[in-house]
Amino acid sequence: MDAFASLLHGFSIALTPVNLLWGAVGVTLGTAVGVLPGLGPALTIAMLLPITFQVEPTAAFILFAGIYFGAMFGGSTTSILINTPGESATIITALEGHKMARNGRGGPALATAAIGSFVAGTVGVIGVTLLAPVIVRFALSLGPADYFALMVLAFITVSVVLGSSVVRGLTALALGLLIGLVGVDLQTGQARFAFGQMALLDGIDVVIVCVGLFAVGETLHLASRYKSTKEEIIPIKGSLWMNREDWSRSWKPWLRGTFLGFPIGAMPAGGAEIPTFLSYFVERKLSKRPEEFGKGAIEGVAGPEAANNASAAGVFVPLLTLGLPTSATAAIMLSAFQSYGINPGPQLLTTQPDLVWGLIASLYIGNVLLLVLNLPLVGLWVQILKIPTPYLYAGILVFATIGTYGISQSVFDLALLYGIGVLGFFMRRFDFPTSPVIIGMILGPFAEQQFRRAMTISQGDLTVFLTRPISVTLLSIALLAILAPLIFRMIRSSRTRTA
Amino acid sequence: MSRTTSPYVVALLVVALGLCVVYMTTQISVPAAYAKVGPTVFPYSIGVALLVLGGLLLIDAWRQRWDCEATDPASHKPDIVSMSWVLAGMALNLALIGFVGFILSSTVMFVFIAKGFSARRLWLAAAVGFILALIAYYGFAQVLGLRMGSGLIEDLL
Repeated sequence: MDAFASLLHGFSIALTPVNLLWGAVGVTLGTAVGVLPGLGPALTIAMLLPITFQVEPTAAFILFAGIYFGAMFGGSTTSILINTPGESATIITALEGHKMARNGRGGPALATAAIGSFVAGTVGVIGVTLLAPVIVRFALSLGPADYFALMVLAFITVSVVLGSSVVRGLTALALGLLIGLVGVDLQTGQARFAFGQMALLDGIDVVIVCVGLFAVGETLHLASRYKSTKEEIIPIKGSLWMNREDWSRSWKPWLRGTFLGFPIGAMPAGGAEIPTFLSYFVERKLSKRPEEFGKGAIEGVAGPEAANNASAAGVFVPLLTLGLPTSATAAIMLSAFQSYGINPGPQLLTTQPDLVWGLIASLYIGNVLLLVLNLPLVGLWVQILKIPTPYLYAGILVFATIGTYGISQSVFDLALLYGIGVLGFFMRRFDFPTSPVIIGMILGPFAEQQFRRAMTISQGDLTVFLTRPISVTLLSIALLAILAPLIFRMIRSSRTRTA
Repeated sequence: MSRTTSPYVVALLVVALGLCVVYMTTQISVPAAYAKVGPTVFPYSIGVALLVLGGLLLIDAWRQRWDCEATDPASHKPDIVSMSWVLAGMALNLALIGFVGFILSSTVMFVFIAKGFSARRLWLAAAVGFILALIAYYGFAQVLGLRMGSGLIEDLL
């Protein structure tokens, strides 16, 4: 019960009026950016990274956690009401939720999403509390070779499993790793890929890459196609509340979604997409009314939304215990840790207990705030969608500019920002995933450090990665993750040939 | 660029990037003490990975297995006019920001981007952009304590 005592201590930190206020600001801001199509939590937190120069770590992470969960909640609102899922994890929500909205049941769809997220968040926080100390005990036995293997596994799964193409996912990852290499090598002092530019010696700022890829890239992409797409906001008709039948059809999917989402999110190869898809298929299988699926079945909103939120809580387990981010947002949070000079890892729980448990408690408080603030105010959030598109995107670029130029006053950085934005546009056009770039660039230097440390210990013997049982297991899983889609494809094509 | 040739160009660019990375890595001098696991191991691996991935992308392009917006016959051609306004706004911002400061140059960019998204009343866009840039500047400069450099408007505040 030691962990729960720590969690209580965490609540005592997170519940101070000032921190509560940070949480409320985060949740509100997060919901706003989540509602706006094309903006996400990774981008928002990246733009707010300068706050780490001013605010103490606990408050900053409470703010970030609020944004993280708020954005997820806002994203499902958009998916349900205008059928433009902002993130891949909310595609499923749009599937059934938007149909419900069209049938005049937008209110219950939003309500089941909100309450389901709350249930999942609650269980998720308990899960993090119980699991984190266990993982830490395991993590302390890991050597550099094992860490390197763990990072390789995370790299491979975030680039391979989530995207539509293995090759394009890995290309995006390689690009991110390359960006991460730019600058002075910390171990030898050698400049790498700096083109003799002073501005590049410190490396490329993650804010520039993130804002460039997500904000500038998205704006260009939208400009290239928005005349040919028309969006329509479905007004919420009828009651906002769920009736008795909605409740009885929702509670089991919430729980099932939660128990699918949390473990998958907590794995070092997590991500929210797989559990939401899984939850959707499970609910369709188990439903007494499978014919309603595709026409607005409430189970198809309740389950995936819970899975999404539970896995979002799960992502904090590898982040806080291993320093391993498995989503773009978690990667940005890792760089926020770095900006405070804190290295997440197994020691974090003992060296920064206030920060860790305050953060975990604030995840829970964020969920409560979301339930209290958002459901009654959903009409207000929808108003955000009425901001005229030209002003919205022009405004986003003004903020993107200040987020970069404001820190360095460097025109070079600004040019880099817009250049990466153009790259982001082409990545969208040719369907390269963007998250692996962020994860590769932030985690890449850590992976290189662990690799070189392992090689130094083994005196340059590469077999160290194959003789340690943990490392060889993790690397085998990573290899399997790359090869499995190829093997499936070969089996399928040989079958069609013989058939 | 047509729908069938553009994936080849992207794949070749990835190959070219891989070649650049490998070549540039040969230019990094390695201190003797680090000969075995020096600063070039990772760059070489990434360069080779990019070469291999570029090759695989070429195969994808050749087999027409590359499903995306750019190869989808049902999707519209990118709207070059809109994009040009947006890009021109960014280019102007880059050119102006050092001389007139963040607020004015961002207002100019705001108007160009709004025009790119077919805003009609440009004077209104200019007013909105100016106020937004002012708020953004003030928020950043005051709340976060960041110095935002000087400019025509900035010096008046």
